[in-house]
Amino acid sequence: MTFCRHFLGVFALLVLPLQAQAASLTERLQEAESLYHNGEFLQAASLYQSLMEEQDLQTGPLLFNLANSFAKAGERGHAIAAYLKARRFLPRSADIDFNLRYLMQKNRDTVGNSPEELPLVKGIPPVVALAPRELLYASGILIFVGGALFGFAWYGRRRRLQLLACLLLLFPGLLGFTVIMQRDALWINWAAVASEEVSIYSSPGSESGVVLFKLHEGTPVRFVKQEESRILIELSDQKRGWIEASQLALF
Amino acid sequence: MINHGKRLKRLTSHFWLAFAIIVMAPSLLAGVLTGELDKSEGSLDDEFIYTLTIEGSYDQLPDFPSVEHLQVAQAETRQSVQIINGQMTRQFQINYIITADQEGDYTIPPIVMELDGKTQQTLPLTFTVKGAATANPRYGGTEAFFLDRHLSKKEIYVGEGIIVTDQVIARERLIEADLKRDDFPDSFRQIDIDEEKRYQRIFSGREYDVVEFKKVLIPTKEGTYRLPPAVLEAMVRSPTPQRQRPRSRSFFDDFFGRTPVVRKRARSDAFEVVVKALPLQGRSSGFSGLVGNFRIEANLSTRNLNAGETATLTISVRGSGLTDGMAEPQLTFPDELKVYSDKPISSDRVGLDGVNGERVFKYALVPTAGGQIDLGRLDVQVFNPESGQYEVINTDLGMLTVTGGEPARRDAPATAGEGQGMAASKSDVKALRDDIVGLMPVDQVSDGAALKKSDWLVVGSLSSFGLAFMFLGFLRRRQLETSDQRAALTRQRQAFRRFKKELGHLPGSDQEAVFQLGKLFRQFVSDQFALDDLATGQQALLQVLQDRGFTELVETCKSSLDELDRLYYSGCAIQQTDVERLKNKLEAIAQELSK
Repeated sequence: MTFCRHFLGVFALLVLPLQAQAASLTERLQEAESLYHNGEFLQAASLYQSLMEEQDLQTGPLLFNLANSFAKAGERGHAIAAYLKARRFLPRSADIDFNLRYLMQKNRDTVGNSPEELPLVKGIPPVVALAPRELLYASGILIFVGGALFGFAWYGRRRRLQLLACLLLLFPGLLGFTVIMQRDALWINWAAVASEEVSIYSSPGSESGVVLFKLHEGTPVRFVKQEESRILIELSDQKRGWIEASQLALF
Repeated sequence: MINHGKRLKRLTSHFWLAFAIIVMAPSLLAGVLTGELDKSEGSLDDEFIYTLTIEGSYDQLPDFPSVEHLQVAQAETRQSVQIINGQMTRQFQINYIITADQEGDYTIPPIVMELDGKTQQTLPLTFTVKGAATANPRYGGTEAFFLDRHLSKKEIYVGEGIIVTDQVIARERLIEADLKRDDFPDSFRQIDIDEEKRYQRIFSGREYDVVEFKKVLIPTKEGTYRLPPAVLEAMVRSPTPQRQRPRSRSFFDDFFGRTPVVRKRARSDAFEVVVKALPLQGRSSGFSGLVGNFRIEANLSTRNLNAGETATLTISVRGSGLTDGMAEPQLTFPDELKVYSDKPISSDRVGLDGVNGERVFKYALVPTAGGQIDLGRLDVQVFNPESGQYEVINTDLGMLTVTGGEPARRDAPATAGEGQGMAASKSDVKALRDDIVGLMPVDQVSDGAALKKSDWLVVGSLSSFGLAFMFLGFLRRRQLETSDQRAALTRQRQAFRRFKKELGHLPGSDQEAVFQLGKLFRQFVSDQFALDDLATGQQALLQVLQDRGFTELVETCKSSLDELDRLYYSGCAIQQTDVERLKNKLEAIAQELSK
């Protein structure tokens, strides 16, 4: 009886802080939602952002809600950048696709102005792309089934067929794992122009740069690298140039 | 007693001698390291040969010490064994070819290495390199070939092209010529001009063949740079007079002109180039990045069209200079035009007169309203290095006459690269606030998260189970295979014993006994040769014996089995003696097989 009481005490000590944390998260999310519904969009966006930073929580729906808050606040560049990031976690979400298209219609630049032109992974259309979590679980299941088949293949009558099937399962499973491990290099980091009109320079240095072209708010660009205060970006038509970091929205 | 003392003294002296030999031996056996130069004075065109000779055993060859302005290449190695007065010495020689960039006195520092466990070093060697300019035929030189270099300019701006001309001047045919002329600083883009020029020139009364190569260098950064000399290495006929040639040369060698050849080297002058930054004064924020002498023109594919139709505006910038780094022109189109820009195309050609560049921008213009649309004028700022000033080149883009469509609504002008001239201010987005899909519910917010540790844990466990299944399956199979093999081996070992034992239990002399005898023998063969199934048919059994190399027993076995069949199927009374005979016969065969 004493043991049971001790066990319950330890259990409560372990579980209660987590429950309290979850409750606090839910409360703050509800607060952000009510700010949004009261038309205080920038405050809602700020609350969503602080939640992401404090809780180290980056989820598709959270980014979607953040993007919505920015969109309603008129910050089209930030909104598009947040939708593009949310798409990584929810690649086949019709809501993200709809809102993204809606905002992109307002863009002044024609380049990369539809979600189809902005693949999540190079060479893979967004429609068939998997979220990192989905890919991880799919790979794990393939390896499990492949391994089990391999284990039982030694006893079955159609041993060769079973071995072939297990190789067919193991190969994509291991490939999926490799992709997951290399996800930072493979997944494209999309950002968007955050200011109404920005100059794109030929070099990262502020003195020697020539203005190559101009972009306008909301234009999606691929983040390549950052040097000092400028970021090297690439448009969907492979044009490259340097933009001031403060003029780019990136999540 | 005296004898004893003398003997002791002699023994002591022998001991000291032996001790001295033992102590001195390593130093007597220590290796030798020497370095020598083939000459102590030469010109910039000359190669100095440094020979490093190593005698003794070593673990690692030394690195040649680096000396500023000297280039060192390892030419050849030679190994020799010499026996002098019964003593064998191994010698290893390395030849290094040394060339100098600049004239002056040079010292090659000692080369240090471990030989026979002791540190050895060469002596420092000094040599003098003199200039090679006097060798040029223009200055009265008499060498077989020379190298001359000219620069179109020695003071240029960033982005401006400079033409480097290298002339190979030779009065003899060059064999295996190797011209090195690409060793320029990284701050220069190099573009080779494919065309080469060949002609003859007279220098000091002699006729020379001249081959001219050109290259364009484009500096990307300001500063003062030293352009190293071009170097030409080639084989030419030896200047040795006929009478001095070795006697061993055959008549055919002379008849067919097989003259000995020697490797020669020539170098051009080095140059210093000053690269100036583009001045800030007069530079506008819309500077195109073009450096050179350029002109611009614009063309419209059509000037009269209906609303909704397309006219193509082509803007070409061409002139002397590179255009691939040019910024997109800052065009301002009227609002009643939809503009679609193409990717600009640069085609920079390098000829004997330098770089001629062209960049073409294309825009598809779709008018959305009727009336006269003035496209305006395009100004492009370029830097002219000749005048050292910024200039503006411009062109009139023309006018479109559009028929049909609604009259234009004048709004804020659009800029190049825009798809639609539609206003897209923040207030517009606010006005349409209810058109986007609303928030996702709070309880869904933690779904679709980035990868967490728990995900890795679950999937890692799943994969580990899969891999464990693989491993266990493989292990179990190995185990089963081993136990199957072991059982077969036991059966094989005990086959004859069991066969003999079973023979003892055979029933009397009836048909059953004959049948059991045949069955026992087949069982024995199966056990003996670890067959999966019982060797049933006679043909199969004999085939097994044949395959296993018991050819001499096949006939005996066949006759015994035939006899068994005869006895079994004859229907007559079976004699005890016949059964016994066959038993003995089959036992003898089995004994042979079990061996």
